Formats: sequence, C-alpha cells, structure tokens
Amino acid sequence: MSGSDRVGLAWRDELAAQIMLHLDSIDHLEIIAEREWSGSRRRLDALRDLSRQVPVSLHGVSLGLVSSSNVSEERLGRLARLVERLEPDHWSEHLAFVRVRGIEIGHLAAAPYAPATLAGALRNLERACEVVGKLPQLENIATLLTPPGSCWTEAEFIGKVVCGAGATMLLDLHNLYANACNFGQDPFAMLDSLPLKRVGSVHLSGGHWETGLDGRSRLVDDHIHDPPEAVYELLEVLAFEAPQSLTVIIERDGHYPDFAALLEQIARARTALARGRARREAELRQVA
Amino acid sequence: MNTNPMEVLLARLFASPDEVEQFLQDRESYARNCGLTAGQVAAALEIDAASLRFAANSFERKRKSRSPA
Repeated sequence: MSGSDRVGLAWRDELAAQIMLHLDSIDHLEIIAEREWSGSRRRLDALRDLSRQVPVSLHGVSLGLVSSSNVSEERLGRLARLVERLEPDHWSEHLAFVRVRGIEIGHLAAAPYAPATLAGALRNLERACEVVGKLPQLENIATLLTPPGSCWTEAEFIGKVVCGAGATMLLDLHNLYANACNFGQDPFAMLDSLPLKRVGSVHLSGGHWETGLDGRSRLVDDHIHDPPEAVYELLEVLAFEAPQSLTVIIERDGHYPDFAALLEQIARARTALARGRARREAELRQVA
Repeated sequence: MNTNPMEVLLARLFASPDEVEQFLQDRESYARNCGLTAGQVAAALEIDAASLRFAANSFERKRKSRSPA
C-alpha cells in the first residue's frame, strides 16, 4: 500500500456511532450529497467538523451529468452550497443519466455511448465545474442493458468523457465486475481498457445473482452484500497498474453486518493495495 | 440543447415495467412516438426483450428500496 493510499467507508447514519468509535481505522468517509440537501444547520456543522478530522468526499447520485440534456442548475447550486459548507476533499458523480424531459427514472441509467451523449456530458461537466468550483470524480455504473444506439464500447465511452473533460475517475470495481459477468467479458481485460492513470478513487461493494424469466442469471449490484473475492483481486491489479495514490471506499447500504466485518473489509482492501504496490515495486526494481 | 430521443425512450422504459410491455407489443410505433430517427428505430428493434424486462424490474425494485448506487 502506498503511503498516501486511503481506505474508508461510505457514511450511513446507521453506522455513525461505530464509525465515530473507530475513526482511527478509517482514512476516508464518503457522504451522499442529496441526503444532506435539507440537513439542519447543526447536522451540517457536525459533518463539517467531521471533515476536519478525516478526509471526506461528497457523492452525488442524481445530477445526471452524462446526458444530451442540460444538467439542472438548481441541483448544481445545491451541490455547490454543500461543497462550500462541508469543505470536502473532492466530490463525485456517476457516468449516468437519471431524467429527461420530466421523466424521472429514479436511478442511474446508461445513455447511448454515442457522440450526442459525449457532447452533452462534456457540456454538463464544464458547467458543473463553473458552478461547484471543481470537476467531480466520475464513476462507472452497473448496467443490465447495452444502451441501444451506441457506437462505442462502455470503456471507450468512459475514456472519451473522462479524458475529454480532464476529470479523475471514481472506479467502482463491483460495477465493472457485474458488467463483465453480465456481458460475458473478462473483468481484468475490462479493467485494462479503462484510463487507469486517471483513477483517483475506488468503490468496493457487493451484489447478488438473480435468474430472469429467460433462465439467465445476472449479477445485480445492490450494496447489501459483501464484496466478492474478484473485487479485491481487481483492486490488487489496479494498485499494480496505477502509480498514483488511491482512495478506496467500501459501500454498504443495508443488511449491515457487525462493524467488525466492515473493518475486516477495510483491512482486506489495504492488503490488496499493499500486494499490488509491492508487485509494482518489485517489477520496477527488476527493470532498473 | 437537443435531447437525444433515444434517451427519452430509455427513460420511459426504465421508469416503468408497464411501459416496457407496451413497447414490446409494438416497438416501431412506440419508438417513433418517442421521436427516434429511422436508424434509432432499427436499434430499438434489436433490444433484447428479456434483458430489458430484467433491467426495468430491477430499476423498479431499486426505486422502492431507495438505495443509491
């Protein structure tokens, strides 16, 4: 593990007491932005105080930046005010759209990997940077359907958005793993096709296998199961491939295990990072 | 701003499993009503029905559980 790598947790109110008791074992906390939009003054003060003890990031889930439609100015304004208030280390959003022409999907969806979406995404990211003051880290999403009308692969599209905007990537390794499983691809090849030198943060989470009416099993990302072994293996490869420091966040949204189990997942992530870093060092020594 | 009509179609389908069934009954008319171009209609005709149903149902469950991604 590089000296500046960090491993932490997604902040959830259900975990708050245990997080506070174990801050010495947590390098970073990620706060869902939308949940704090109507937070009281005291709550926001408490979160700001927390951000002064441990690095915090704000994670948006509803801006819908990757769309041919314009991002909501009202939502960007709210995000900007929260960033100003909590002083996070960085903020992040998804490579997804969530609404169009008044239709709310209510979750994250992949728009066509096509020039119109790319142009809209770059325009929206430029606007987000103007309003919030800095670009978000951009997270890959899990999708169960390749968007029709696509002319690029998911990895090609991600590369064009992230590099075109000059942004950093929040790489969700379980989303990557789920897409690889569901579309019959090798997750390690998929990892290799992404702009790994631009990864700043990593999400680790879990999901469940579900069989559809067609008899096909698909891996559904749900954040209520432990990260599978493959996700730690992907993290080790990432730590080997990417020289920059990484912030790794364990995401859990329900069916909470004992906090000791979450601390164990943090420890496993640190071990995976350390293994990847050690392999990288050994290879560099060999080359020299 | 020119909204890509394919996003409109996808948003309608992902927002409601009922819309998926309407779409599958007559894909071409549904797609044209969303404003898709001829090329996009052809792409909409190729959508795998089982995967689409699976995705729409998954979205529906996630909306009900209100889980972020």
